[in-house]
Order: sequence, then C-alpha cells, then structure tokens
Amino acid sequence: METIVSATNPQANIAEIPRSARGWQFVRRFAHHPGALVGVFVLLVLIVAAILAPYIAPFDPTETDVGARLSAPDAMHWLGADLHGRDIYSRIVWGGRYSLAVGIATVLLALVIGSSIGIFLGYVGGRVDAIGSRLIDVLLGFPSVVMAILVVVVLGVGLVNVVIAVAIAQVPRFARVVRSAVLVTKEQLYVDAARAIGASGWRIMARHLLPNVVPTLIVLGTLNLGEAILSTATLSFLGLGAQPPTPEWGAMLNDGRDYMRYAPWMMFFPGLALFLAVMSVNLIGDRLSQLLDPRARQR
Amino acid sequence: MPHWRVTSKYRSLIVAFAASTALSGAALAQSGGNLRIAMPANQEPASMDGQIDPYQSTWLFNSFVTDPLVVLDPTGKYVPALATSWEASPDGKVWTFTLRDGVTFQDGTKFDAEAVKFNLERIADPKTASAQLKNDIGPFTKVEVLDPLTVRITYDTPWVTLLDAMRRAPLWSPTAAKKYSVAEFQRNLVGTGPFRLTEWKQNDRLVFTKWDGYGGWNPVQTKKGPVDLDTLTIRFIGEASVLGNIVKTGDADIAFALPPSVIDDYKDDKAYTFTSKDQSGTGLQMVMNVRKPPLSDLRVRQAILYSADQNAVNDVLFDGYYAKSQGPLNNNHPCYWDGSSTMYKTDAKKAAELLDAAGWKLPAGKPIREASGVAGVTDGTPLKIRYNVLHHKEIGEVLQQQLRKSGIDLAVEVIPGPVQIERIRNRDFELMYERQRSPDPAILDQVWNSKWDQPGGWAWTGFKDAKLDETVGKLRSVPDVAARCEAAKEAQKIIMDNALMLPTLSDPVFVAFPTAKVKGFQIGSEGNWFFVNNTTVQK
Repeated sequence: METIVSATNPQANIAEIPRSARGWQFVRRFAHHPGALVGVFVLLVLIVAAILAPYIAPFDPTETDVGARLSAPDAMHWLGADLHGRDIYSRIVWGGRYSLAVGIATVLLALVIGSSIGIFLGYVGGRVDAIGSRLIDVLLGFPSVVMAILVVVVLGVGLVNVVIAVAIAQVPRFARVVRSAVLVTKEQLYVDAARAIGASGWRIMARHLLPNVVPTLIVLGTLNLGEAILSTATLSFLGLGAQPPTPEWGAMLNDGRDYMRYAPWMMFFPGLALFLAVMSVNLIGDRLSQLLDPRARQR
Repeated sequence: MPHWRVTSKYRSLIVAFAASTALSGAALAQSGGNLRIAMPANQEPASMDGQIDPYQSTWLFNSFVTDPLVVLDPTGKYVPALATSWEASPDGKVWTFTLRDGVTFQDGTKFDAEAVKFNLERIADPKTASAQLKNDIGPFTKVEVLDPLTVRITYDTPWVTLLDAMRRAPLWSPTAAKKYSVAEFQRNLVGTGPFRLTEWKQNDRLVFTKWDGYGGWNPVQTKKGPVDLDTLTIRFIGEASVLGNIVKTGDADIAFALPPSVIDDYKDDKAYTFTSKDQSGTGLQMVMNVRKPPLSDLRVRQAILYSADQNAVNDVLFDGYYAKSQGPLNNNHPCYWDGSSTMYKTDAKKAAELLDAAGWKLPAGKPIREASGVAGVTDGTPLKIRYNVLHHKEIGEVLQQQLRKSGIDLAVEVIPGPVQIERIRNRDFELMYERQRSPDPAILDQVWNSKWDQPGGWAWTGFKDAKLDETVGKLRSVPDVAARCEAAKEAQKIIMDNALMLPTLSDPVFVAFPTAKVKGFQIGSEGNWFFVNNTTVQK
C-alpha cells in the first residue's frame, strides 16, 4: 500500500513518520516504477563489471594481438577485436572505469562549485545576485559541448582536463537551479529564526539552506550524470579526452569509425555500453525527480 | 521462320537512327560533363590564394584557375607552360624566363613579363603574408622586365630550387589582384587557367566552371582551346568511411585520397579504376626535441629507433599498402639515402643496452624504465616520451606497444593544429609530427638547417651542427642535380647518425573512379597532384 502524502503540506506528513520508515517508504516508492528498477539493475551491472574488471576481463585491455586484428565476435573474443587485435569486451569492461568515474567526478565537481555559487547568490541577493545571475545566463547561452571543447583547447587534452571542462560547462546549470531553490528557502521562518539568534550568513547557508536543497541537487546531479558521461565520450571521440591506449568508450567509438563497414562491432559494443549507461542513469534520474521534486510530487 | 526484308522505308529509318546515335555519341564525347571529385575535408584550404596559403591542395585548386610558368608533368619532368623556355646562370643566381605569347587572363588582361613581375613582388610583399611560397621563391634582389615576353629574376646567393617553386606558384591577373584586397581576392581569383572559381561553400565544396577563352596552355592538355568539362566540383568529406564509399553511392565521380581501409573494395573490382601514387618528401616523420632529457641523450634517441619496427606497423595497420620511409627522406624520394634502411634494424637487445648505459634502468616488476643517475632528471622518473600527431594516431599506438617492450612509455597524444603550433613555438614537445612533401631535396634544408630554428621556421629539433648546416645549405645553392642529391644523402647520414627523427611510414594517395564513366583523369608525378585537362565524365 502506498502512503499518500498531503499535497498541500508534504513536509508535515513526512515529519510524522520515523526516519527509517521514511527510507523504506522511499525505496518502495522508487521500486514501484519498473523503468527505474531496470535503470538501477543496468547501472549496477556496469558498475560491478567496472570494479571487477581485473577479474572478469579475459585480456589486458591494451594488449595487442596482430593475429586477432579486426576479428568478429567469437569464442575467444566475445565482442570481437579492434584494429590492433585488442579484445573489445575487455576494453569495454575496463573502459567503464574511465567513462563512469569521469562522469561521476564531473558531476560532483560541477555540483560542488555550482551549488556553492547558487547558494551564495540566492542568499546574498541584491546587486551581487543580479550580476552573478546575468553571468550565469551568459554562460548558459553557450552549448555545453562547445564550451567544454574551448576549455580543453586551453587546458590541453586528457581525461583530467575533460573532467574540469565538462564540469565548468555544467556549473551554470547547478548554480541557477540551486539559486532558485534558495530564493524560496531563505524566506522560511526557520531561516529568519536563525538570523534572529545571531547565526552568521555562512552558517545559515551551510546548516539551513544547503540541507534543504539537497533533494534538488540529487535530482539535478543524476539527470546531469547521463549528459556528463555523454560529453566525456564526445570529447574523447573528438580526440580531446582519453588518449591511446586508454579504453574509454568515446575513444573506442572513434577507433571504430573508419572500420564501420568491415568491423561494425568496433563501434556497436562501445556505443551500446554508452547507451545503457546513459539510459540507466536517466531512468533513475526521472524517478528521483518524480519522488524528490516537490512540484513533480504534487502532480 | 519469318524473313525480314529491309525496304527502302525501313532502310531510311535505320540510317536516321544510326546517324542520330552517332551524333549523340559524338556530342557525348565532345561535352565533358560535370566532374565531381571527393576529397578529405582536411584538404580544404584556409585561403584559396596559393600565394598566401601554404598547402599542396591550395596550389592544386589554383592550377584549375591559372596555369603556372612551368608544369611538373605526370612523368616528373618540368615542362614549359606559360614560360616557353628558361635559363639559369651557371652560378644559379640569375634566372631568365621567356613567356608564351598570346595568353590572356580571364578578365582580358594580357599575360606578359609585367604580370609575372607583379606576381613575384606580390608574393614577396610582407602585406601578402605568404606562408610558404615566399620562402620557396627565395630572397630575390630584383625582377626585371627585359621585354614584354622576357623576365629576369636575380638573387644575391644561388637559388637553384626556383622551378619547384614556380610550378606551384599561381600567377594572377594584376588588374584583378589590384582591384581587391588580399583578403577579398581569394574569392575572386582571376587567372589564365581552364576554369573560373564560381562557388566556394566552406566546409562543403568548391565549384569551378569552364572558361571558354582558355587556350590550352597547359602542356599536359592534348588539344588546344577550352577543356571538355563543363564544371568541376570538389567536395570535402569529413568522414573517412563516407569518402571510402562515395563513388559507389554515386555521390562523386572520383574519390581522391581514399582511406586505406577501403582499398580492398576497389582493388579487385573491375568496374573501378584504382590507383595509388607515392608522395616524395619526408614521410610521416616524428622529429625529436634534443634540447632536454631524455632526448638530449643520443643513446635514448637511438634506442627509440632500435625499438621501432616499421614493417610491422605497415602490416598491422595497412596490410602493407603504405610506403616505407626509413630516413629523413622517404624511400621513394629521388635523393633517398639507402643507408638509412640498415642503420637501425629493430633490435630490442641493443635498445636495452643503450638505455641501461644512458641511466634508464628497468626496475624489477615494472614495465617502464626509470631514471637512475640521469643528469637533470630526478631518480625514479619514468621514461615517458610524448608523441604528438595531428592524425594517424594508430601508427603511434602500434609504436607505443613496440617501445613498451624496451621499457619506454610512449604517450600518444592527438593534438589539433593550433595546439601543435603553440607547442612548437614554446619548443614544448619530445616527438613531434613534421611532414614536408616535395621531390626536391631542399626540404632537408628547411627542416634541418639550424638557421631556420626561429619563429615561423621549420627547424624544430634544436640540433645545431655546422657540418649539417653546411651540407643542407648546398641544397639551395648547388645547381647540379646529381651533386645536390649527393649532398642530400650526406645530410641524411648525419641526421641518422644523430638519430634526430623517428621515421614512421609514408602514405600514398589512393584514388578510385568508375572506369566506364570517367576518362582521361591523370595523376601527377606526385600523388597529391592531378590534371583534369583531358578528363571527360559520362553524363
């Protein structure tokens, strides 16, 4: 049975339920959605495979084998081999470490910087907020991948720089959404109360505003994770991210480009891994959005 | 069985049909149609004015719009085009060209010695900002018009490579060039050639339209007067796989510079003419920065050469279709020194000995060597060498595996052109891709003479040796072809003795077109050049 939360004051009803029960209730509500379950399952498979890569990958992902060059999938190379005879299955499993880790690192970096800026602007308000918000608007005007490419051109190629580049491209989004959330939250009575007992601005931001925008951040972070994974792969596909012989999925797609007609598995399987990762993250993000976003929850 | 009698009525019908067929056939043969050539997108020029732009493709496209003074014909000989003859003084300092009479530019301006003088001075003018031709034509002191059809170019020092420059140098109408600014002129080219540039849609195509006033002055053209083709379209294709299939899909008539991955699709297909042509030059060489460790040590540089196996790279990646390049000039260059091919045969044991002696030791249980007592390097620093390329990263990946066996970590990094320029400017590289294409050995002077180790120069390695400078300097001053080749060979030996570059391979140009549809297409003696003066395409 599903607990019905008051549409007019959801916080009031939730507060009456013990914390542990609330957690289970949340999990049950999350699991109620089959798409989200599929997303969790696929993402878990990819993460576990990446963690266990040294044990489940039959070959070294960088080991070349001239004899196996462009081999079609068979009993030895389950997903075929690339131009250098490297095992594609092993490269995909190892590549998950790069693609997923870089995506997560990117979102975390963007989340920390973006939410800090958003909370600061939203709380301080006035002219600082006006100028900061206009700057964010300007940055949002740039397509994020173009912005990331510009940053990589300045910083140089490589996965670390890709993390920084994609994070910088995502910061304005986090800042804008968090600022909006803070504008609502800072008008709450408990914030006035904290101010009245002499709490400093930094304390109010850290202890009272931040916890209240966490649900928003979780939703936004999850929804942006898929895009971060794709942006990272895009930059690697363009030759700006992972460098040879790193088995990153975007770089693998690029490796297979010229051989699409003769060895389609070189592009198909890394593309499939990328698709599954982004799809699973988006499915999870959508469900979290339904459960945690107050507006969505009220619908 | 019915017996058919050909009555006079039928006979006249048959005659009429035969006549019309013959007439249409004749019309087909006379009218050249619209030829579409697909090329890789990276061959699209930044500027269409070859007096400014430094790339072969620009000079090639210019050759459709204007004829040069001399042409390097498909057999590799310099033959007269707008110059009917030429003469160099014995010391190589004075060149005199006699010009063809009766030639006009597409705007009606007369082609004469004044026009040649105008063009040479335009190229030399700093305002033109010529990126290559100015250097190739050299520092002439004066250009004199002896009479309307004779022009004399004088140098202070011998300049024996002028013909190679003049075969590429586009000659524009002075009237048109004066009418437009340097920036505007590249879209309004006016020359003496068989086509006018009628459209340039960037990142997509160039369209050239037949000029009816053309006199057939290019010696490669077999008939006088205008060419047969009505239009010539160059399509720039970004995706190698698309380029590889474009002739088969009918979206182009000729695919030029095909990727090696599709060779087997065309090679054995009788419906297509497949051809390849080598490009003389440096090959896809990687020059070494000797200014700082680890490459400041000759033993490390030699170890890299001993670790690499070019034949394996060719077999693994290109089924052996690429050409060998085992020294500073590739193996098909007329002045190639064959000692390069035996100097550094793959020898992992020797590479290991050299690295050990240089202080790069292999720690137990580790795949990459580390510094141990190397001057200027902290002990324990891994032997990592950056390998920067603009393309062909797959070659780097195979070399990466080969060098790893010697304990060298080759970090392959694909960088865009502007990043390459910046790294070269800062001399911030270890192995850097540097390629020059020319059958003339003077490219060795360009790359290896330390006097060109300056901003904008092509000598990047930081290696300075009086003997090498003197030897490559001769390539600009010695008129005798055989003597120049000897000097080039001596220079190659010095370069290889000092292991200043890692030769990789040389990529031929692969071309395919439907045999029945395209006739008379001629590839130049250098793979990156072609002639369409005699080409027709079936409508």
